[in-house]
Amino acid sequence: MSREDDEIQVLGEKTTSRKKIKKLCFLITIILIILCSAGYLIWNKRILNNTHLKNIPETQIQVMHHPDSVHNCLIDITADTINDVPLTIFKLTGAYAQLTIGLPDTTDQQIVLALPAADVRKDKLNILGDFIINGKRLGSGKRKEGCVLINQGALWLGLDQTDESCDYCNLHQASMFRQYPLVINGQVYSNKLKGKSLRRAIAKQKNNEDIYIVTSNQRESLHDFSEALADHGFSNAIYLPGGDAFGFYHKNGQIHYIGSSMDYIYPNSSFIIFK
Amino acid sequence: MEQTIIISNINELVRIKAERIVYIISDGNYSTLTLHDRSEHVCTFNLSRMQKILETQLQKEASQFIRIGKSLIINKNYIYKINLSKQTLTLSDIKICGSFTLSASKEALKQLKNYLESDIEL
Repeated sequence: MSREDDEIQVLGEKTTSRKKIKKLCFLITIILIILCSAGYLIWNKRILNNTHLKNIPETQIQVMHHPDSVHNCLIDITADTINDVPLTIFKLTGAYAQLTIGLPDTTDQQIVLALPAADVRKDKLNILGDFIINGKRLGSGKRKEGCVLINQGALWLGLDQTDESCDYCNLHQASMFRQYPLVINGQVYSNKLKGKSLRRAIAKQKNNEDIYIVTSNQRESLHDFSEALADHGFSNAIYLPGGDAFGFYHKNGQIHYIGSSMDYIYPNSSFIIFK
Repeated sequence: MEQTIIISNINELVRIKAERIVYIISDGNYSTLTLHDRSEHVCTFNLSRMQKILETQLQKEASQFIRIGKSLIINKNYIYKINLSKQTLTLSDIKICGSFTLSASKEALKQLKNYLESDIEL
């Protein structure tokens, strides 16, 4: 028997039958779903827009540019443990960022810190993801949504799933590479990468021009690492190749290695360096 | 005041006192009114139309009728017995010669039983 067969109704009385209630509930549910979806889309759009290039005034990048910063970059190293994740935090003040191809000169004292940037495919040895140096495109792909954009030494970290950052680089002769986003607008960005490893990230805080390089002292999952970064107060953080990948910094005239493995150094290997 | 309902079509008009109707059963586009003297009157309305006629013409008095499911309207004044396990509804009264036993869904009968029980509480 159908639902209607299970109902009674006293004639002349306005009754809300079960079917009507069901219809009403269904309609309310549909309306709620539509409202929630619209709300989520608007909210999501706002989140994306906040990290999007079009909302970053060009002047903001130019303001961050320090022409004489080559001689003024300061490095400050601290250790902290967030949520049982021990971190080493390299704070770079007045840094002039640069993207390069090939191993940087370790004897160049002007280089305060250098770390691998984009990933390189082991078989074909090509750079993974959009990769542009001074407006010249050397790699393409948008699978990694995190974007590190460098314009005249100034750095922008964020999320860009479009060609906007590439167009920006072409227009301004800027540089960029793509990696996994870890923290966007203070929120952990979920990544599907599994497993534990020594992690590295480049991060920034809101309304703070300092650049932070953060490394985990233990093997961590990407999620735990991202959570630690967000809890530490970084507004945006992008993944950098971790493990024992070659990287170094200079402090007090001495070179210190963050990683020493040359296993994955290819002719196409890229580095982000800070002077 | 005794209320009457008038059912008319192109060919005929039937005038029946509401209290005479024991139940109305429908078979698609036809509804059969069974009266207390076991006489039947078939009209070419479906049950929803029949329900509207009762509600329009009887107004408040229409509440003596209860629709059960899609195909049955009963006069509650004639309800004699509800048997949930057998899923039967017996309509009987001193005016009726014998009784009418109808079948309905268990859930509908349960609701009817609850409805009548709530009348006692009032």
